[in-house]
Amino acid sequence: MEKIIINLSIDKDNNITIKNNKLNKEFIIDYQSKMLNAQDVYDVFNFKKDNSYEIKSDIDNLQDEKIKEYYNDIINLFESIKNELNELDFSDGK
Amino acid sequence: MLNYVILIVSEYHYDVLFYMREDIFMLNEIINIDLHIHSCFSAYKDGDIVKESTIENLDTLITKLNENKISLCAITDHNRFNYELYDALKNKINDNDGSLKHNLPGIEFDVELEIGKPKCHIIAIFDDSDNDKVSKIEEKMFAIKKISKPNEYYSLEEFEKVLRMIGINVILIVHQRQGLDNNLGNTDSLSNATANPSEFIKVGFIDSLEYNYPRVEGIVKSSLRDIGLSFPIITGSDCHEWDYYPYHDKNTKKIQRDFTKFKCLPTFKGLLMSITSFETRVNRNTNDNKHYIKNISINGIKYPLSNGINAIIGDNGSGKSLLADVLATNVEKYYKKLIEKNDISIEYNDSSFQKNEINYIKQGKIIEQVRNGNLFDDNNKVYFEDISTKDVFSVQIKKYFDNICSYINGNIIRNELLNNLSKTNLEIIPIDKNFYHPVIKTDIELDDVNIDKNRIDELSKIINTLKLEIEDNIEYYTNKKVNTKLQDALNKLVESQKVIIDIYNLKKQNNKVKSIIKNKMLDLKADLDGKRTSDEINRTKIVGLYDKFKKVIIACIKSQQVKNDFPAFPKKLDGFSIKEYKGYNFCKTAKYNQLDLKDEFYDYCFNKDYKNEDTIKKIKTKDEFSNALSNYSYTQLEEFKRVKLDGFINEYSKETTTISEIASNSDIGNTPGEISLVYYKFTIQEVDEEYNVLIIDQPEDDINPNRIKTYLNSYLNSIKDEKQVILITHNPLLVVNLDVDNVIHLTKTNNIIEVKNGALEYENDDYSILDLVKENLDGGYDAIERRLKAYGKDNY
Repeated sequence: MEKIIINLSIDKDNNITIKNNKLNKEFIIDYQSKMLNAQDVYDVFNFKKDNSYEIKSDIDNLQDEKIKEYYNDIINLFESIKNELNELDFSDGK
Repeated sequence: MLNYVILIVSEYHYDVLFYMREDIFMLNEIINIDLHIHSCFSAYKDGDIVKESTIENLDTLITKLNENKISLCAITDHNRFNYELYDALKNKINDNDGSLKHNLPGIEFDVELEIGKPKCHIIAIFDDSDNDKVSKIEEKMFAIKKISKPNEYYSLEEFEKVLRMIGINVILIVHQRQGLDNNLGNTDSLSNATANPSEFIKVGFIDSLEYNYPRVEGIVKSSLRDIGLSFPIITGSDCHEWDYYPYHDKNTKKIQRDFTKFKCLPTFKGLLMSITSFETRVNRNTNDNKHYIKNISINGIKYPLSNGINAIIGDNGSGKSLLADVLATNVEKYYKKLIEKNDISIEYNDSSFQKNEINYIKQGKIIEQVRNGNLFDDNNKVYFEDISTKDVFSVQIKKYFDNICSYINGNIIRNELLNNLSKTNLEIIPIDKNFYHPVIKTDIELDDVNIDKNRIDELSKIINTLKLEIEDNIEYYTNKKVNTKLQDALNKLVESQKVIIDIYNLKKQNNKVKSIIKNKMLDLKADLDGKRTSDEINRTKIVGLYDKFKKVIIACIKSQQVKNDFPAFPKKLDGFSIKEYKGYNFCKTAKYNQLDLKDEFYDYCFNKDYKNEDTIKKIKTKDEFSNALSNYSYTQLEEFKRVKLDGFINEYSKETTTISEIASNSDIGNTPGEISLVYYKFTIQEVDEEYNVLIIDQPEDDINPNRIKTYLNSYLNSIKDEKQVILITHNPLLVVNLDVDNVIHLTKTNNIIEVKNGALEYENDDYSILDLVKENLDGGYDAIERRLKAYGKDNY
């Protein structure tokens, strides 16, 4: 089982970078557009059966409640994806 | 070297009225022949013993001959021929109603074959067709030398001169009263008279050996076998005192006397045909077949058929096949006019005769069936067994194709999901913190139970098949002591199936629980959704978008992880059956037998750019899949399977049949002729079903002459004394070499059929059967030439 950390960090312009630390893969959610693409998420996870994912973020450094709320929604989304991926069961050949 | 033959051209005449008698112009009866009877004209040598065997006592002889069922006889005195006695006997026979039909002129010569060796007795039987020459036999003989003393004899040179002087076709029969290798004593035998008796036989100087007692027959036969010769041997009574016929004289021990039995007309020509075809004519069994076609009536004349072998000959269109159809079947409309015009009818020997007692093989039927591959498809007899793996082959190919489709579909889905990723975006709209939004997950995945159900069904089929097999053959398996093992195997299969059934039932139960939960969750969700404010509804919608976005990603990841291995092409399969039957192996081989058909499969099923595994593996879209399928779209897979895939399966399930002889371990060949010969063997010789009459229309089709002579004739010969056989033929080998008992020659003029028939040796003022054979059958002349070559009778 290999632990993969998906790291979320926010810059001063509230752009959020999502990075797979192991692969050095990342993408950015632009604050202006607030849009993210499924392909980018798929690529950054780079799923392997034996991976165990963990989400880390720097949200605690944020002061602005509104931005925090926005950032938290994104973290929740990634947490939710992480949970499902960690629970995937391929033991039945599925 | 002696190479002695007598060639005298002469016409052969018979009393026509006599031979028009139905019972003797063809061969139906087996007759007794005695060609060794003495008369008072042997007195100069035999003394008083023959004094009562005079012309005045011929009635005694005739009575005795009739009592012994003799049909053909010859008085053969020692070095004498009395024409007056011969002619008197002939006239008396004409008035006789008994078995005796004919007498031939003959002499028993004393001949010294080698100087210094004892003499031997040679019986000369002369052709009686030229009465003038017959009347001068003794005169000509005496012109060379008249023997007057008992110990006198002719030298070989004198004997040959005598025969030349007489100038009549002759059959020479030499005494052999001990083994050929026995030259002890003086028995007037060939083996006493020469150091090399076999040479006299081999060069054809003599035509037959004569033995006197059954015990000697075995000895002579055995000695002939020892030197590799098959040669005619016959017996004669050597009767000197007619009162005591069939014995030599009153002092002879009266033991059972048997005569050599011939199937021939009681004529010189009949005798000649028998001598030249000893095996087919002599010592035949009486045909015990009780049901046969007695005669066929055409234009008011009844033509009897032999309860032996009959050959119908004639030009094409002369009515041969018509006759066969009339004899064997219920007349077809096509022939109705012809039948009526010729007033054709059939008479059986017994009123209980049924047409199903006839085994009728129509012209071309066998060859057509050989070419269609169904010659041995008999309703009553299974010669070839089914190939047991044909269903397996079909299932394997269909399954392989299904697996390819699953693989391709997996690729297509995976590709579509991947493509969907880049098109799926999510706009992050923050949700108020005070928003109460419990997540109700209603997507509960049910377990796939189909895979287990399929396995259970397949195991059920195997279990039931095995169960039936054991039940149906319980005695066989018990005898072979494997019944318990099979029962164990069956029990293990049942146990294994139970494990799968348990898993299946558990999954079904789980699915039921999941479905209940799902329904409850859906109810709860509906309940919550109903209570939400507009803002909450809006927020729920946003949550839904989040979920949808997440699902797209998870689904894609899942699809990439699903195992999607390209299926392996089915392994080579045995595709043959062997059935042993009466010394032959009947083998069926499917085209797929032990063949790797992978290339052929791709070539047959897919378009030119997709004719191998690698290109099929690369298919990722529905369009590509449609392009790959030959003339079908991916939406027409069921039709593709029904037409294209079944086409492939049928093509490679085609069967070829071979027949091999077990003893020689050799295939009998695949030509129609070779295969049909085996069929004839089974139909004629080995047939299990009872029949009394065999009718074959042109059995010679596609069979080479050597095989006709060696095999077909042998098959037919083997039943000639058990069944009635009627052949329609253009082949002289099936007439002359087969030595048929009755030839029926047909001609048709203005739809009127004319018949000439009789035994091969039969002739009358209008026709000779041998001439008809010569003239009407391709190679008929050659066949007769060969048949009579040994005798040098090329004028016959």
